[in-house]
Amino acid sequence: MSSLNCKLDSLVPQPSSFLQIMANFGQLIGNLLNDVYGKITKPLEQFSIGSMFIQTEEIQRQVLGGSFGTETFNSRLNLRAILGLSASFEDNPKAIEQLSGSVKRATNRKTNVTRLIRNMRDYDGY
Amino acid sequence: MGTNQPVEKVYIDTNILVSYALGPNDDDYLRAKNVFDQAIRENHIIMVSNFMLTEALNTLRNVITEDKYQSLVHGVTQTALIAMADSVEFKKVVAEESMTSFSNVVDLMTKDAQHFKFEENTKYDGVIFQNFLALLSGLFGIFRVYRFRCDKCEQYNPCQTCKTSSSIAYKAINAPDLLHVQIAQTLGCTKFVTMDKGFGAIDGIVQIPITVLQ
Repeated sequence: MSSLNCKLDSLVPQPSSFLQIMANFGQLIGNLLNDVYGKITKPLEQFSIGSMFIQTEEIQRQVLGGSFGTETFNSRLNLRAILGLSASFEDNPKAIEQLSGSVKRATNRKTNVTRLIRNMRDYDGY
Repeated sequence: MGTNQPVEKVYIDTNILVSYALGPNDDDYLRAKNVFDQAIRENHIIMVSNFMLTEALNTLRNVITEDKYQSLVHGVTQTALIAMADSVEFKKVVAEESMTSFSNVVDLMTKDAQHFKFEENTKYDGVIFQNFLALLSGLFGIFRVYRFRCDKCEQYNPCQTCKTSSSIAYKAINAPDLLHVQIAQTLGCTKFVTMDKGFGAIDGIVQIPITVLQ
């Protein structure tokens, strides 16, 4: 191809250039719409459901965590999360008494857990 | 108790927690209950390690499996037991019942900030296993003789083939026992409480005082 042909190609509008112009125009419109959408929705973001959920959890952490102490509250929350227990729980100093016999339904017979654990440690699990 | 007296941080062995939660169905329930009653009376903090909780879940799975086994009629065949062990339904029942029980225990403990404290990002020194080895090297356990006993009817019977009636076993403090003790020390506990007499062998040798409930 000669050098003259090259120059003519760049001067005469080509089909690909038209597509490029349309694409650029589309992008411009898109950016404009995004900008407008952002300006409208940003002030509303704090009221979105997701954000409200996070805020509720944070308030809960502050309120309930305050009664437990933040450090100990987090460890409790993590433990409960592992077992799928509710993240909403209140301090209950009577829980230690309620723990007594709380899982008696696990067995209908006399057991000896000390002997069972001894056997587990000696043979089964280790 | 004076208000300035430091709070006692007690580490409980898994047997105490599970026995207490099982209630009077466990042989040692009353002994376990004493530990919790004392914690209420004297405001002790019971330290709960993740390792102890892991072992508690495993114990509950064993307890429930044993309960299902004992509920079967006498004379159950090996084939029937294998079929039960392989069945999805049996696995589901034991898994769900044990997890429900365990979740119940954790639910109650996590709600009581006055009596229970949990681990929070505890860092353990790798040297602890070296210490175990040094400790075990200096100790030797005991040999115990056990009469053969049927797990189902719990009667003592000699082997029908060789007529032997008993077996011998080496018993001693081992890795999981020492791990509990080391965790208790790392968590800054002032006392280690267990119902397992085997721990008496290391009381006075390890740093933390060990109480074996009689």
